[in-house]
Amino acid sequence: MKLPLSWLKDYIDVSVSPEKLAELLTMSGTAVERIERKGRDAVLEIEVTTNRPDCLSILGLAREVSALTGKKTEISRQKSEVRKKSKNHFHFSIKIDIQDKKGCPLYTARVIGNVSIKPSPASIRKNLGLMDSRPVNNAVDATNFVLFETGQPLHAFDLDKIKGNTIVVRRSEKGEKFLAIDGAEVTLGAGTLVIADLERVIAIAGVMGGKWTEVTAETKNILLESAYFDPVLVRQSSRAYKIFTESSHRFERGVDIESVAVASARAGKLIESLAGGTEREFAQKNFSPKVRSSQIRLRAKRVEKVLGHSVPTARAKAILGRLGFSVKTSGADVLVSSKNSRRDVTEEADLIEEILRIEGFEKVRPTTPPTRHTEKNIEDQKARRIFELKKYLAACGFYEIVTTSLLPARSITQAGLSLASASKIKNPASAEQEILRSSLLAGMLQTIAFNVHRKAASLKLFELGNCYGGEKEATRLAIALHGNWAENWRRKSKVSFYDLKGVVGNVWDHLGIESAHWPALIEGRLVKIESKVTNAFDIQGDVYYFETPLDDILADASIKKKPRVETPRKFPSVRRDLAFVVDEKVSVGSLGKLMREAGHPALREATLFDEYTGKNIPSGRRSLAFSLAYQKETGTFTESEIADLQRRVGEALKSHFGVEFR
Amino acid sequence: MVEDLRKLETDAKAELSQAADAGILQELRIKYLGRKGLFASLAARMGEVPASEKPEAGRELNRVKRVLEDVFKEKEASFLGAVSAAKAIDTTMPGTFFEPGRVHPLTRVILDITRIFERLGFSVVDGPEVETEHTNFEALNIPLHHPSRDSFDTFYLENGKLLRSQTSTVQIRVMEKARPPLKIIAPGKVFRPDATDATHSFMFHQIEGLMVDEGVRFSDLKGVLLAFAKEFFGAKTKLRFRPHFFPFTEPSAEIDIYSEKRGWLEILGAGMVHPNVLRGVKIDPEKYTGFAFGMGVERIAMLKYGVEDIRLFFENDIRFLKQF
Repeated sequence: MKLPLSWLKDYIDVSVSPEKLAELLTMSGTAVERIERKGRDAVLEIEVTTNRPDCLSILGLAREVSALTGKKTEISRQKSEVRKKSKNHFHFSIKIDIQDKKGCPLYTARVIGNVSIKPSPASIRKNLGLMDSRPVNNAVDATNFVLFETGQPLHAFDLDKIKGNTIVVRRSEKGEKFLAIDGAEVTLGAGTLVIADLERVIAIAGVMGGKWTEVTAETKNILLESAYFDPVLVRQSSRAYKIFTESSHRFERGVDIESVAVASARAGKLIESLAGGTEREFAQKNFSPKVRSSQIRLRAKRVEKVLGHSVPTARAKAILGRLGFSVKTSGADVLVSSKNSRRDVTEEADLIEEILRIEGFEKVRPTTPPTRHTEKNIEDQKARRIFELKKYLAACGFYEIVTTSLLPARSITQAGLSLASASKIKNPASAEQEILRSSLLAGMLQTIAFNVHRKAASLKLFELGNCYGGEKEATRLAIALHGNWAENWRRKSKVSFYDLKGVVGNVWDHLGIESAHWPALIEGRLVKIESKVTNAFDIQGDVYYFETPLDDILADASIKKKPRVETPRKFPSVRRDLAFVVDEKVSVGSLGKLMREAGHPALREATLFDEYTGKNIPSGRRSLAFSLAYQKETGTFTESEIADLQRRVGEALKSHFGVEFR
Repeated sequence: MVEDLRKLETDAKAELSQAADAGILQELRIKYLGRKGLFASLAARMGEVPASEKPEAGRELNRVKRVLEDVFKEKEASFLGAVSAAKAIDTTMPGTFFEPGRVHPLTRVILDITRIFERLGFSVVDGPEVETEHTNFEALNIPLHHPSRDSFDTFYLENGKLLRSQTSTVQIRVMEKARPPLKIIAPGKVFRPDATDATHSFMFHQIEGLMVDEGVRFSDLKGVLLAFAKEFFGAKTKLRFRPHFFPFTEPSAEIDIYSEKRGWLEILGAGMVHPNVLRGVKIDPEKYTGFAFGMGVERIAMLKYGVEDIRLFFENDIRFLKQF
């Protein structure tokens, strides 16, 4: 909303500078975004919040300025003057047929005859110019002038172009045509609130008038519409046809129903003075229930209780009075009548805000809140553990990434995932926002590609984020490795499956999960991404990737480590190596298991320390070397005991897997 | 003679202790230990010493020579930056322990912020990103078909659910389950169908705070936010509370932080919890009052670290992430 100071000064004395006025308004809730200089005039550009349609007019803003500066406005005088005049005539020769009484609870039509349409005088054109509103002709300009002045949108029809001398307010039928005043043809859907004559739609109610009944230089008689249209219906029409006007902006926020007739009289008078002509008729259809203004009680103590700042009752009364509320004292309390122009004020909390915003937020001194501990710990254990896990992975050398949860469909298919079960967004603003992710894979691959294309040689990445699939939201963890694992002058090595497996083990350990449960939590979740997929992302080289849901794992108490401490043995364990050649299909896991069984209970560990294939090893076989640790309950082993154990383990390996010792 | 030698020792040590580099050290070496240096000229006077004093003077001459040689050597070593073992390896070669990673800058900011509020007695809670119309709008006093929804454009899923457009949803989820006193801080992702540019993203992060108890006042909101801002941005931070409109608070405020370069910048929205919101979760607004606040994490991170483009947070360029 623009506020030209010269126009404001028509209704109230302003003795402060534009900058000071801007600050006063900003600090009371009508934020001034900037001050524009237009010639010698200053125009304040104001951000009016949706709860304050009353500030979408110069008079409404004059009331705010009055409350802030204590200066009186000329508003009341002007209102009573126009009211007296509008009482005089009540003819009904134009038929007004309101078919949707809820959509249009109040409709007024004023007929002004014998007008001569021509450009407006300079003063009107100047004011409209300051509002960035294009002057059209004296009749149309008068309606726009009053719209900006009072906040009530009006429309002037060429009376002689209305078929059948009848105004119908009704809902449209599907497929009806409407020619908007800007020349655009609109095909209406069903149920739009429209103004029609006996033959056709001549306006979309509250949004835009039509070309067929436009006031032109040839117009002789004018029908001036001023009405109250349902805010929801106007909002729906405006959005459905993507027509956003000064009129729809005000109607959808709610105009003051009491100012409908007042604004009509004001505009009628203005048209008479600008275009000549005489007022012939005034018709009004009113279906709005008589709304009794309700009384809101403002308790003196409540103000301080809510704000931590006390405002003397007399001062509170004065502020509310200057804002145009009628105020009475009732004991220690204040009774305030609600009013139509401020339908955002309905209860005590609203009055407290009104008082505080005029009093000034800066008046409230900061305090420390009362401290009472919550009875139940409401802290989210999962949120805390996820933060801890992020910090842990970072300390392990991984970078956390945050990718967008919405993705283009092509990224999902590129990642080799199915779109069939994907959650689609109904109203994406662009193709980049089509799908809500059900996996972290696509985001991870995009990130790897992005960095690889910028010459990153070593990527250790993780993401912890929510995914959505099967009607369920779940937190997932993804870890990926690409390029070099180590890349310093002493060690260079490519990432491998086993590097990632090691990290994942650390994660389970960090989360307190018993190692016996790790294999099941890794199985199938730790993969090398297929080259078809890495190629689709233009990534050269291997990507090792692990992804898992976390919620169930964090919640499952049965897999957690139970603290039980074994006192370290007094005597060191005895270590012996065992190296052999075995069919490559035999897994290290099954070999280890067999050795531990064969050496039980003295054999504590059998750890792989070398694998070799190639020269001197027949194809289809591999050479493996294990380090075996033996431990006794008490005392030490003799050399022959150890030799015995080694033989037992060796024979088990031979008979089960046919290994050959080297 | 003995006295002269001791004076030479004291002088040499004093000058040596002032020597700032190897060049000066070399000059001093010539001055004291050079062929025509001070020590040499003293030694040349040995012949003049009476025979009775000769043994003592000789011992002193030897001692001073040793001491001077030692202190020069020690000083020299200090300029080489290492003890004698340094000769064996080049200590300037890079260390080879693996490099640490980083949490994402947004996580870092969230951790920094929540830690401050946790110290003030707030508990961290989490809430879902896929939400219902009820939690995202109605329970927050945002009616359907109302222009106040314009500020909360929202993504909808085909199953009728939506992606939350603000973390205020967590207020509702907590208050539906727990009774006051409540002090929570809820960080998380939010979504709005915006075109992406340097300052807008269709996904971003917010941190929501809520305190509800008997006797919670607007002045307490000011106190808590000021305490936070001073700890996070520095002790000299200035805040400005400006009236605004949010459907779920009354009174509502936008809070600006003062920047020398750019003047007042909005960083927070806040207010006293609207009585309708409390009634909706069956908390008696007569008995309990509360405040709520919300802040955009990206905006605060950009302000704090001088990040110029919001998209950098979601591209995850390692060269960017490394700097935090």
